[in-house]
Amino acid sequence: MKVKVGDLKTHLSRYLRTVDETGLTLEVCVRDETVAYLVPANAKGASVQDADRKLRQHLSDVNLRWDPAGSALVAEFNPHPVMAGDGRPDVVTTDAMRSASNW
Amino acid sequence: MKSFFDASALVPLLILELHSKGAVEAWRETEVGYAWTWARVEVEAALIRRKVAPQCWSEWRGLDSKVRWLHAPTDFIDQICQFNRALGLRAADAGQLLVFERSTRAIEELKLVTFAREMHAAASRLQLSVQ
Repeated sequence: MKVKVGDLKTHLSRYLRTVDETGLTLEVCVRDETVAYLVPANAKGASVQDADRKLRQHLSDVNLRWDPAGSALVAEFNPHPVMAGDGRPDVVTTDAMRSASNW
Repeated sequence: MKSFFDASALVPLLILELHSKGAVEAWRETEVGYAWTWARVEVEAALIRRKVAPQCWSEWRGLDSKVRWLHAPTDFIDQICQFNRALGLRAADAGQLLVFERSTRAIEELKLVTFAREMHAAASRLQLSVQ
């Protein structure tokens, strides 16, 4: 997984937690060029696949399914909500949709 | 933190609205994010209704790829009906809450992130963990 050095500096704690929890190696990039790797210090990462398999089994036990795809690392998405086209920040869109009679 | 995001907590990550600040804070505290696949339909409906710019759709693709999407079986409607008989929630609220309730049995320390008032109240009544 690639991470820009600026993002790494800003969210260092989160990325460290991610490496520790998932066992993934981070590629640290400066201007799209990989300059360093951040690797997990322990063997926790080796059991990630095993943990995923257990999670899928637990979900299956309650009639749910999850298909692991990609890294799915929350830290990689940095939300910046923008103004909607109608220019109204004073609404709760989902609540309005669910309450609408024609939803 | 492991979080289950209702559509009401995903939309304000993309569109500036009343609960955007709370949603962003919840996202930033989250290490692993789960959601029910139905939320995809609701998020895209919200983006269409709110007439967002193409950049927002691009952001949605980025967010979509970072969520662990949980799939429910085809006979899920019957189970939602049964679950909702004691709650009387709106359909989407009931479906989301049932998937979350099931997920808590499989995923330890999972918390619900929602800004739908009825769902929040029902989750509290069921003594489920809500952010």
